[in-house]
Amino acid sequence: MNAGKQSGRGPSGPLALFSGTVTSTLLLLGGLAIIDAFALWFILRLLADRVWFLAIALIVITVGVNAAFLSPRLYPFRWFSPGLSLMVLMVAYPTLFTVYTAFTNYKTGNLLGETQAIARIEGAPEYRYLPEGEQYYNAIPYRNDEGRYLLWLVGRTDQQIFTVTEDDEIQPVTPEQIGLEGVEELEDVAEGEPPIAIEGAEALSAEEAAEALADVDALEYGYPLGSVAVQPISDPAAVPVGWALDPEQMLLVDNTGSRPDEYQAFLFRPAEGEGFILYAENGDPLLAWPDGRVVIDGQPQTIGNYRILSNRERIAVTQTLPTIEFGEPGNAIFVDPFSANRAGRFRQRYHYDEARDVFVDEATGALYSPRDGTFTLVRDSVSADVAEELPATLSPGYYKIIGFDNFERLFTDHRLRGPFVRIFLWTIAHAFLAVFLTFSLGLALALLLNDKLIPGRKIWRSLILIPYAIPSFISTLVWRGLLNPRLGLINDTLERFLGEGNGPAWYSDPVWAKVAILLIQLWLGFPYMMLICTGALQSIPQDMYEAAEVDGANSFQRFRHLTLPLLLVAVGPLLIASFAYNFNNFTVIELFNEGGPPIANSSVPAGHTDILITYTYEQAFGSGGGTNYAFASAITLVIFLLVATITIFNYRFTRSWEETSQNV
Amino acid sequence: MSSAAIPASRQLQIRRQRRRQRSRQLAVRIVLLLLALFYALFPIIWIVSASLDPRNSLVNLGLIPQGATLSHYETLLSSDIHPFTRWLWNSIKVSTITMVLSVLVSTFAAYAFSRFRFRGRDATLLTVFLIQVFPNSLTIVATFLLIQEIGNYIPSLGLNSHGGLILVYLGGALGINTWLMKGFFDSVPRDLDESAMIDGASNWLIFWRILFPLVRPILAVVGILTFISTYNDYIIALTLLKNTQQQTLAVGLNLFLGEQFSQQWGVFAAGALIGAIPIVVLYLVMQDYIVGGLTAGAVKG
Repeated sequence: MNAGKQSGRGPSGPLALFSGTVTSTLLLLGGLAIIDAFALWFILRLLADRVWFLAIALIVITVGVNAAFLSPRLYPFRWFSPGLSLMVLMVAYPTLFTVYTAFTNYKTGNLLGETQAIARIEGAPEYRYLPEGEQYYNAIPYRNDEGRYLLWLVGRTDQQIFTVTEDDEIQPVTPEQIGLEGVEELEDVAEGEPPIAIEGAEALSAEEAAEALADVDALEYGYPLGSVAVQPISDPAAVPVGWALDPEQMLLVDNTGSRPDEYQAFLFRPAEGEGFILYAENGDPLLAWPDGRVVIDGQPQTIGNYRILSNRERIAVTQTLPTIEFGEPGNAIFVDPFSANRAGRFRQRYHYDEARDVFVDEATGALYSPRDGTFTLVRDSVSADVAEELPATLSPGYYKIIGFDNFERLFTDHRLRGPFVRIFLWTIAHAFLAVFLTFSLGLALALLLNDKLIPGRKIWRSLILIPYAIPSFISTLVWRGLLNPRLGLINDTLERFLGEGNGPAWYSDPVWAKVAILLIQLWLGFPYMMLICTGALQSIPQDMYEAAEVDGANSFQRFRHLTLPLLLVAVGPLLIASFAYNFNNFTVIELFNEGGPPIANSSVPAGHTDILITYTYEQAFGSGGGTNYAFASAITLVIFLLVATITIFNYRFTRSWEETSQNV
Repeated sequence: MSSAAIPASRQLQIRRQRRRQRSRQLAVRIVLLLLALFYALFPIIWIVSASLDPRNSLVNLGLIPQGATLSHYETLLSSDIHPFTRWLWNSIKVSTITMVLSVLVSTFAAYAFSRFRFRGRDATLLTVFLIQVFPNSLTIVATFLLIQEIGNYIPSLGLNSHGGLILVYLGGALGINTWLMKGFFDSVPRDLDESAMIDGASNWLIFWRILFPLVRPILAVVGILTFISTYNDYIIALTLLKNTQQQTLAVGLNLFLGEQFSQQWGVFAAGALIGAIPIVVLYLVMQDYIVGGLTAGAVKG
């Protein structure tokens, strides 16, 4: 352990645990305590939510950090603790998780654990049915200030009206609630006369009404009118937001919406009590009582402390309303998730039978048994008299380990295998050609610039360096413009010689798109190759060339047998690193054409210029066809293997070249 | 000497011929270099021209603008829907924080690798070597799910947060940075810290007072390389950041081009230039340092 010149221990002695002063020791312990407290909080929450893998990773990190700081024997690891913690969390964990995911069915539709998925299916609002003998109701939702709901229901069969709240039982509706007691519709009324009569109240003529309102600023009513301003109205649109009444014309204006609504209004004076009853019409009759009740088209606007939802509010709650149970549990009324103004005594359709591990369809008796994490209809269990088309699967499914299925798909599904093989080959060809082309041009330029007689060599180099310095996300986008088949500079220029419309289809032709990618790669990368070749050329001893010259070698022979081998010794490992880098060069491919043009007849999205990493990305995060994390992870493992192979090769290569160079 | 056998006039002729040959060779070299220079620079000239050309369109755009205006720059800097300045600032902020933290973490580790001998050193070293081979964009799916999970508990380290993004970048830069720095620490003679140790200095003191100042040049190189590769990242920022205000330049600029590719070209060109300038200047000023780091195995992102 003490093999090195310096031991891995802090100072020894009774206080060996802590190397510094009392203050620094206290600081250290304090810091550790804070980290531990935070880690403990986090880990406990993760465990409570059954997020096992992440919890384990954090436990490993926390235990490791504590060990490093509390054990003198592990002193060197204090210096590693930030790095190693990062490594466990951001490198080891994602790597292991990728391996795990590759063997599961983790994808859209299978993102939950088994128990969660079963609970979701058992309680899903969209998986309900109306048992025989039950009727549908027309439903109108109300809400109180506490955010609790009430439904106004009209039976579609029996036409009975009643209300039901979240916690109350069913209440029949009284005429007082509707606010139509003593109201009688009149026929054959003259112009300017109210079309109704109210028992115990006297209708006011226009003159009487104007007189009665002469000293009144506003009339107070319930929702949705509130305070109705009494004022002359010449332009309805100019009325301030709210309701207003013109006593001369008896014109009621609702200016709460986007456009003002105009009503013809009538006032009634009740025999007893204060205030006026307001009746107004434009299509829907509106009746407002001085005690706060307002009825529009026979529909009370408030019931107790509940008030009706406006259209906009109803749209906002279409998702939440079907999840609420109204009335007594077990015989509850639900709003239909597929039709917001309909309700009924729905029952959950599917029940999980734990003993058999199947879902039973309560309506038909059909069975759904799990297949690869998705409950699938068992055809034999459907009795012959079931007329309706039953869903083939229940969603959501759950994730589970499915073994090598993802890899098997790669080899058995020919609509998957064909495109995959193409992408695989292009990935290698692309990386190889990118390195080869950039290296060739870079080396040529390095040789050109290697002449001491060329003036301002440093300036040449700096200028040629610029393409490499520009972030590739920017240069790729610039090239996307340059290569635009219709408008770009390149085709503009080419078409001067080739004729209008004869320029290469850089975006849509599989071959030209690949050429375009390589052109971009060449531009992006050749300055780097020039730089490293320049460095390597300068390190080749001059006396070797003199010796070669004496031996009578011409300049090509000198290049072929002296410069190139020596250069490759120096830059070989860098070329391989560059190869490995381009192997995963997501930015250029994705930003140029998103891997396009698409390959026809592929069962998953795939493009002609896709490389493995962009293909993987498309499977995991692509816009079309949902996300398949599991399949993406399986391909990632394939890339892992390839990169590992390249690396091992690189390592061997480096060593062997080192040996060669020692023998030169 | 053999030259004595050749008459002086002939000697002069040969020398003149050689000189003429040389200068002809030089002329060829310079012409070739000029061609290469044109190839390297024409897209840049073109984009400068686009940023100044009043037409704001790809159509018939040449290397020389038809007129010059700064209006695209004004449009760019004042846009609310595409907050360019916000994106630029996000990129610089995230890259700077990543650079500082990454250099710190890697320096600690490199110091320990270089100066301590302990059980498990070889295994740890091999691990660091291995992880710097695999880019962290490879595990992007698992990383995305990890950050999403963390975000359920700590939103400031979750999706759509710069904290989460920085965490991923730190993990990605760890291997290569430690590897580069360990090499440099190894080249600082041990006698220095040994004599300090005899004088009773603690490890921390040796690290902070003696070694840290000595390794400053490599810190600069590693720092700049980290900054540049963070600034240049597209895949991770694309995956983690969905909110326009939070996005970095790499994601935002592509978003900006969006559907109306050819109609926004002038404004895009202005953005491309402003976005590229910090990095290009960094490269040109720090050229020699960066080349040193690159030839040691770092690859630009």
